[in-house]
Amino acid sequence: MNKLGFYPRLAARSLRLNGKFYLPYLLSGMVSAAMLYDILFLNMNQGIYYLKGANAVQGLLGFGAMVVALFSFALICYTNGFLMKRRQKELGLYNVLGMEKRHMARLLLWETIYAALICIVGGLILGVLLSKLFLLLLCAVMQAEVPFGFEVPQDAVIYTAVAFGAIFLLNYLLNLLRLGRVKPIELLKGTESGEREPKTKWLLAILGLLAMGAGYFLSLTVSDPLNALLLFFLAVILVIVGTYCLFTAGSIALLKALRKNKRYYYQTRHFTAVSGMLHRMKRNAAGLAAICILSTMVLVTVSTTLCLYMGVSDILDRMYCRDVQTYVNYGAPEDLPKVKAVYEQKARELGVQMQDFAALCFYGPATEYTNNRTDIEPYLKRANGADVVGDPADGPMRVYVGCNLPADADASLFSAAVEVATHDLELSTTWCFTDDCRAGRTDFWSSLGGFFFIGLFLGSLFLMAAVLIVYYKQVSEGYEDARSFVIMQQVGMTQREVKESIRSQVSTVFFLPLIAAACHTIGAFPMTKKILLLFGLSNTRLFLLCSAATVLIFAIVYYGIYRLTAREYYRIVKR
Amino acid sequence: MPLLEVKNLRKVYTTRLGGTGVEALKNVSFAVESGEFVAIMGESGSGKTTLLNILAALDRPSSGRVLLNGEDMAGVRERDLTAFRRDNLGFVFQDFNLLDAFTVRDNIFLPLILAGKDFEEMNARLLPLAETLGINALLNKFPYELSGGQKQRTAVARALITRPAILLADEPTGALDSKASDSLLKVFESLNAQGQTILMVTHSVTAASHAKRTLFLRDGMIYHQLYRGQRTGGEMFAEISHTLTVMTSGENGHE
Repeated sequence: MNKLGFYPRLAARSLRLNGKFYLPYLLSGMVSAAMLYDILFLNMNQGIYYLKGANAVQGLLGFGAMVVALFSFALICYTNGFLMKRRQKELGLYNVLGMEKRHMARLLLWETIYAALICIVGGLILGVLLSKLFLLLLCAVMQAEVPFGFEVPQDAVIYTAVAFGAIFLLNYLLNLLRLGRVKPIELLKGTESGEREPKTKWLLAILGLLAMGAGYFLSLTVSDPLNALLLFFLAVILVIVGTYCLFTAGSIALLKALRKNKRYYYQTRHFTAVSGMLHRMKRNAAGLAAICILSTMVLVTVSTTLCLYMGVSDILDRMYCRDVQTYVNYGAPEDLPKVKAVYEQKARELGVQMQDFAALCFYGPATEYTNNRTDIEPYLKRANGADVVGDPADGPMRVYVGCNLPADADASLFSAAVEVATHDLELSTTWCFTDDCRAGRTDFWSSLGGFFFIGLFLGSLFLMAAVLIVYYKQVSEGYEDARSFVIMQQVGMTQREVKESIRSQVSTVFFLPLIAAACHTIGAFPMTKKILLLFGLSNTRLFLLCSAATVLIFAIVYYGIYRLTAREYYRIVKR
Repeated sequence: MPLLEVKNLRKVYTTRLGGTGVEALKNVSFAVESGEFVAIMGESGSGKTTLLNILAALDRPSSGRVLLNGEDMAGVRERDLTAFRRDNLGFVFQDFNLLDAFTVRDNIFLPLILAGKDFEEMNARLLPLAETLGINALLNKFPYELSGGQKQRTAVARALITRPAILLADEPTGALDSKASDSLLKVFESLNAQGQTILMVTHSVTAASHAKRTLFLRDGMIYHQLYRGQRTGGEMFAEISHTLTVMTSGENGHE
């Protein structure tokens, strides 16, 4: 045998033999690489660069690329750790057969090289194939024209390859560390060491409850949109900590309480499920919490960005109700005739016909009055010689002047002229802004479209991660449970009872995170609603609808995953 | 009427391609009376396990009949088999087959829970049984905290808690050291003295010497049987060893 080719061949063989575990690993690696390439591709795409409002979107895409890279790293580390644990026995056998640790390191190196090559090359091919589709999608949500041509930016390819090369290298080093620490006899024993029953950690449970409660409290009590944005991340961290603690400690406390209740516990249906879950809750809890948090991330990201996107025209009506408009914040009624005069003068000079001209002073948020393009009249009151709307209790006074222009008139020229002229005015404050709203609208469409796109993009990445964790959990537990179910059948459990008990256990494990994720989404609702206000969106009904739709669709997808993995679990257990 | 009656039992394993079959059991007939303690001995490949699997209704014979309390086990429908097994037969395995997720108490309760009994009744059955087997103090421990002998006694308790007509034991001492084996066999003897029928498959001469009767299985047939009668354990041990020697040398074409 050619000695040189021994390790490469052995590595290839072991990848093939462990296909059931390696396939999802490689697939998810490939998909993450493809996603990284695609987001970099969009970030570097020349066609998008010249689109209106592309600046914000490309900045966002750059941020998204970082999230994808970091997340891929975490995902690959997780699956790799799982795979190494499963393969301990095999490595232990090699060790007993005379393979030293440095040989194993070589074997692992080859395996890593194969895995990296498959993920990077496969991912790039997939990414290139999908890139046009993503470009079309992005342009569609940005309401922009699709640039022609098909390009493969070299930098995107290089960045993706380097990022994933680094990820796999780090993983290899982690594996070496793992390998260095274990003793051969432990390698051989591998996963079979009996797990001690977890103790109830009341402190952790209480801590989790407190953290979770604080997170929810923040969300429910925050009143100011700006504060909401600032506190949002604190609340997220609190809820993540709370979820971890509650899943690890709370679930054990709950299950133990259930076991103490003899009438409940000693029934065929509950008996095996409760003790089985209790038995491996320590390991389970982290996985379940991760699934729960990922699901929440998917739900919150997609529902808010979807809502923003659906509400764009709503927002635009409020923010930009005229083609050109001027706000004087913290102004006074005497500013109104001055700005009004500027408008009339510039319209004469530029020879444009102003339409839907509106000029008023108002207190409080602009949106309540200005979105009625023509129906301002009924709100007006005479005060200090000017038209004033609202009440001083609603907030500081602002002056609003705006008009629409004929389709052929140049809004940017007009607004620039007004802007310059208003700066020469002697107003009661310097907070005077003039907007070209036609440009503003396109900008807004494209940046919110970009938001939505990135929400979907990251949402699907998180979803993939959740699916992967669920799959590995089911498969590994299937192998562990196979023996128990053989024994139960010997002791007198019928095939049907076996199925029922499996279903009860699997579905609890599955739907617990889903329910918790839905709860979190509902809990986050008041806070995200406030944050949406920052974007000028105050349509609660729309947001409710979007959230409900997202949760529903997510639940359906999740159920599909459940069915698939549950089937895999049955197949393993039935052997 | 004997408690268990085996008549002309034959089991042929055919390969999937339909080639020549392997005859694991050729023509086995014997009967076990209520209150007996029978050991079945034989080398590996003699058909012991096949016989036990058929007696346990885990496998069906190719021909012949097994009667329990005069009822033909072939007549039990497939879906009633589990319940039948649960109610009439108790099993003890070589490697204990306890569930790690359950305490000793819950492991013992398992068959009763599956039969839908309530907690009070289960507890009432457990206490005297745990007393007999000397596992009173262990009830709240988990299997991984027990020694081999303690595990096997737990398994015996699990097999007996349904009050089965027959206790079937498959190499019960196979994974135990000599001291634990000895104490388990004493437990079997005392259970038998209280009237429990026991059928044990083993290839340990020591284990077999505790039984009241020993059947020798060779090449799928009953080769010989020995009654203990008034003999001591030591005498029985010598007698069984002698029989095995004769049986093994007979294998080499020597009558």
